[in-house]
Amino acid sequence: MTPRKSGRFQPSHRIESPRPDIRSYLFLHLTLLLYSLASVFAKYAGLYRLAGLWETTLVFVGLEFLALLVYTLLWQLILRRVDLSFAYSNRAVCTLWTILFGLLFFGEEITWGKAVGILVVLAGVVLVVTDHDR
Amino acid sequence: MTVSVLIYLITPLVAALSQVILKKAASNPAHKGLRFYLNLPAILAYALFFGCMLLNILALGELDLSVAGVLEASGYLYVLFLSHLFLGEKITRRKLIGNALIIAGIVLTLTWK
Repeated sequence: MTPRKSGRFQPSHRIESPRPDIRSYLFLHLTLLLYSLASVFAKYAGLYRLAGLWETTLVFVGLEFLALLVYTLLWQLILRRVDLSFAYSNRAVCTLWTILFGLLFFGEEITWGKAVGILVVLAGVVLVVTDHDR
Repeated sequence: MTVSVLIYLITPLVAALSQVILKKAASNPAHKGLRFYLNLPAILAYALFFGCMLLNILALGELDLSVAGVLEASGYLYVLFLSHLFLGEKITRRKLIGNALIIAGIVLTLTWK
């Protein structure tokens, strides 16, 4: 797809982002965990709305909004240091968190499709993360 | 229905583009302090992303959540290609296979009952 060594076809405006060290990688994944948590708040908000408990609904809408806001600020900080395609592929771990949170907080069933799908997703993330030829 | 599918075919591309713009803004060393967040490209990126979110909500009125999720997963490929095109990031075979697996896995979680 792309010539490996010569770099002849590399666009000249390459933005150099060093390979993320363990700290920025941890930072990235805590940020993604926060992002997944936002959907838990959203789900609670939806449930309390159905139950007609408006004040509790508002609290969870507020929590969701706060989580998304903080996530957004952190994500932009991450993009300052890390390649976009690298950071973005890692977002796929949210599939695992969302399904796991669904089980933990709402007793949602983990079907075979979900379990196998999560494994395939994680295999993909590992492939991207361990790619040393950037 | 067709309009909703069309929306979900386009918004992942636009959202991916907004990520590229955000990356450009975040990598600009001139954007210091509050200007790191409050600069024209960053605000444009967030506006584009917010617009996509609103369109998606409209489309979700008609579309099944799993259909929407499958179409949305195309964003992984868009980001890969756009970050090569505009940011000069490499597309390696490993990245390509990795992202294909990510999309396949997401499709599995959403469609295999």
